[in-house]
Amino acid sequence: MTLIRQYLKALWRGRRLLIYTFLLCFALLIYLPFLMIALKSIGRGWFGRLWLPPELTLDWYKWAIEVTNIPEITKNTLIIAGLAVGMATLIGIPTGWAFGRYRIPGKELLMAMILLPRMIPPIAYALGVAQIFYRLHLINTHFGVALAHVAVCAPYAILVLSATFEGLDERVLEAASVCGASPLRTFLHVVVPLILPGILSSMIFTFTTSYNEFTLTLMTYGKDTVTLPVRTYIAMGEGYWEVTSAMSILLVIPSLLVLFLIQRQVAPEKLVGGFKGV
Amino acid sequence: MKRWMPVVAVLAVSALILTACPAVTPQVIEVPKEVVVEKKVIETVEVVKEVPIEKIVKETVEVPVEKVVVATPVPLPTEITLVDTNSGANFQWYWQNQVVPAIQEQLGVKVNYVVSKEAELLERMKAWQPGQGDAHLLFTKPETIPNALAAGLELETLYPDKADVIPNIEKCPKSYLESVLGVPIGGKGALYWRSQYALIYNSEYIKDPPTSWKEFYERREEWKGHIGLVRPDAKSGASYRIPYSFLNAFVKMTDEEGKAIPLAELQATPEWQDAWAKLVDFYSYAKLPIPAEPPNMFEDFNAGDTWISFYALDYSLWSRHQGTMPPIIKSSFLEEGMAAGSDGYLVVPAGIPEEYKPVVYKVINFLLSDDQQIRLITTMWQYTGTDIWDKIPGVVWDTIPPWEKMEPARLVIANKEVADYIKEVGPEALVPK
Amino acid sequence: MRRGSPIRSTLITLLMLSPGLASFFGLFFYPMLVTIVRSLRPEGQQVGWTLQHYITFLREPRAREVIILTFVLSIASTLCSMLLSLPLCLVLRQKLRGHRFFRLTMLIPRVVPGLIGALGLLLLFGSRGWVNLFLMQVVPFINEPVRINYTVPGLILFYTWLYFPFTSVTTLSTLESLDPAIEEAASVSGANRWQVLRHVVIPLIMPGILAGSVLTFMAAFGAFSIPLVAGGNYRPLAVEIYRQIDFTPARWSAACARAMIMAALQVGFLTVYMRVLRRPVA
Repeated sequence: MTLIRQYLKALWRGRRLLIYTFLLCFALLIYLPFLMIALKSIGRGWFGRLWLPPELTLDWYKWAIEVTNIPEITKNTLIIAGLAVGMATLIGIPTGWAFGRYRIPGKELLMAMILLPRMIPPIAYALGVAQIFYRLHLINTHFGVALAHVAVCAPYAILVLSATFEGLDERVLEAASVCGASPLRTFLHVVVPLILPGILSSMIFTFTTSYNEFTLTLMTYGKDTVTLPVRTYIAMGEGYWEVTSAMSILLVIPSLLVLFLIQRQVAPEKLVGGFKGV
Repeated sequence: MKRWMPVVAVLAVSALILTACPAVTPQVIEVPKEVVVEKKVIETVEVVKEVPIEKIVKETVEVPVEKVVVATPVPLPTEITLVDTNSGANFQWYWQNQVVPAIQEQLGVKVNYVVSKEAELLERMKAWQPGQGDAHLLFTKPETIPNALAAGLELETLYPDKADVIPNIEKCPKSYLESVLGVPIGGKGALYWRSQYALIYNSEYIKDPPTSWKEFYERREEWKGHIGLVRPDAKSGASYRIPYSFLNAFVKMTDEEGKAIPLAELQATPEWQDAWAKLVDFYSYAKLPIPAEPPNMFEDFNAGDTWISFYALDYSLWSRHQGTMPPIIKSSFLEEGMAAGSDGYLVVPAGIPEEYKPVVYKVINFLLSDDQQIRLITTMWQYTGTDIWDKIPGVVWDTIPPWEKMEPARLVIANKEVADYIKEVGPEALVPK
Repeated sequence: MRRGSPIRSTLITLLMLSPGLASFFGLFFYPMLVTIVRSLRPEGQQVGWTLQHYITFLREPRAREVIILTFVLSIASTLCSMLLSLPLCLVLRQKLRGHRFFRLTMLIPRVVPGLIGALGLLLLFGSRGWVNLFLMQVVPFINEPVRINYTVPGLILFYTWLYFPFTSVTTLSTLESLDPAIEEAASVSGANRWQVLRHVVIPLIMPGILAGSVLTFMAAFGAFSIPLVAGGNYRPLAVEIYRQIDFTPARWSAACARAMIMAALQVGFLTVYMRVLRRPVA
């Protein structure tokens, strides 16, 4: 009896080991590419089949900053992402409110329509956007690129926000007005705190989408509106991968920082757009 | 069906609202120019009639801007914008760290150095107000000059018209100022450098490199799977320069006068068919999969998978110097001819403000000065644009072949049709499955 | 819609909806219209109608290869994502020590730019990357580097790496909203852990997994950046489209025709897939 119990116990322990091995392999798969980039970015003379670069240098970072003009490009990316978040949120709030709180005939159909851009490969409408923007002189303006991003961001914002507004409990609002709060007070002190997390996660989501958006940017960027993903693409096709790596590390750090900072405030799952009912 | 009526109404009304109030978001209001734009979107929705892009560009250009050209005596500008559509990573570094500070120091002119692409640059220049252009000096690939002229963009004639303000331009070889790639340019660019492709090989694996294309082709079995080629649809010029040089060794693609033989005519000849078949065969000996762009090929080279390849001489040598390519890399030539790289031309658009032009000419003259040109060849291993070979320190020729030896092997891509054909059908016809 | 005349409230609703509709029409519907119209124009012209671009493309023997490749890549990576997500989520659900860290890890491929992920994967799986060094030193009989980059299995691996979070996050959230009482009931009535998993948990979370898989599929089908830099000889539809406008002069009409074919294929496949699932998924 005790033997069996010991055996089971060992199995239990073994199972845990197995699980941790699995998790470790998974984590390695995700993080090793970044480690390789980091090593490449500080190595010099790394030829043949060596595990580690023989010589370390920070030259490639100097290059990345001076030659590839990272500060300027970061500025572009942030301006574009900021504009896209602003526009998407301003579109998302009223539309999301209407979807979430009003009875609209044919709501499902309308919603499906709004979400249609998610069903179509982005390159299909990116071609159209590029042609229109060429004609309207919107190519190579921050506003133009941001506007193109809104095409992808707005449906998500509407979706997240309508879910948030739908979840707003009517009784809470009534209770507030029964207690004598003016509509403005109700709004500021009751509604805003309730919907703020939803708005925040919609904003973070649109921000990451815009920050990483490549297809639409490639079709609408110009020399003054090169964003980080486009610059990475250009750098992978020319020059040295050492410098590209250094650039990538500089670009990845903010993304990771954001992820680790916001994970306590907002359910990070929202970043994937994989919320329930979707 | 009745249930959908409200939806239809919603759509119709919202389309109306959309047409009527373009200012959907405050951002739009902030940027008045875009308001017009937004409206236009809608107008065109209804018409769905497409107007040629160029036409619209021009029409939009002619819209008067508030800026009024005031005829006040303007002091010479001390800041110019240099747009570079030619330099690779090595020269982007050189411009920014060496040339721009030198111009600032010697001439007191601040240069905003901007990297761009030809298509982008031309598109932008088309939208300029006359005399208001903001890219004062261009550094371009040779083909950009005929491309710009063909697009109706005016460029300043630098030689001989401006030889008095750019005395150093006299040192540039005249043939390079008269035409590029067989197309006359009438002195609309100043030659800053001459770039050359070379055979590069890993001296650890290859002790006696081939000296001619024919020899290379015959000995291909020795290096099977280790020959570095780039995909014919790569953005890099290596995409067509290498196969073009190969074809050139087996079939003549220009007539006696150096004019291109039309592709259709060429394709009918047995020589071409034989050369093309050899080229297809040659690709099957390449390191597979064929790298998409040169950096991927360098990765293979650095890993020791690729032993022998072709690339711009200056770039390869400079990379070796920087430690991004192994020290065992060596270079040589193939006697039937190696493609010229992207020669660098300095170009002045006619559409920039007049007061900038004297400053730009001064900068060009400085860039063509012996001191600057010698720096170019001694630090970057790039052949100078001016013929000043006797002034160049002799040690340079220990690293790169002297110009007089190299020039006969220099192959200018004179048959553009063939180059385009390689890029077009190459991905299917040349790249092994 | 609670107070005021019905006309007024209808107007308010419309007004509230208008920004969303405006963005839909201006940034999606109209561009799609332009794409369609352009695809029916002779190349480089603004007048006339032709179906020539569709016919030329579909007649090319390569067209079938490209379309099959696109489907193989996206379906295979969707399946791989499901296979990876299921055990991962079951493990993460147990709230082991450090589970929060692994949860965040799961999201990383979505928050970093895809091209950087591709660069890292190319370096890691290259002929001198750590994976090959490891295989050559540890695994007997492997003396030559294994080719992973620029092959179809390699691409599937890259796609999976980049797009599995869609599946795993959806799966995890479904799994966590599962009522533990159901499982308890099952195990109380004598089912062992495996049986509970096989017959209770997996059927219950299947809708979540499938919904996530649709997201992964859509992303993988439209994938552009990864095959652009890591595809080598393998060029799915999106890259094929981009190549058309990368020519000088750009072939906009040909590109648009291919884009319409791609959109039609994706919508068609998703319609069939959702019919089969009988589940509304956005």
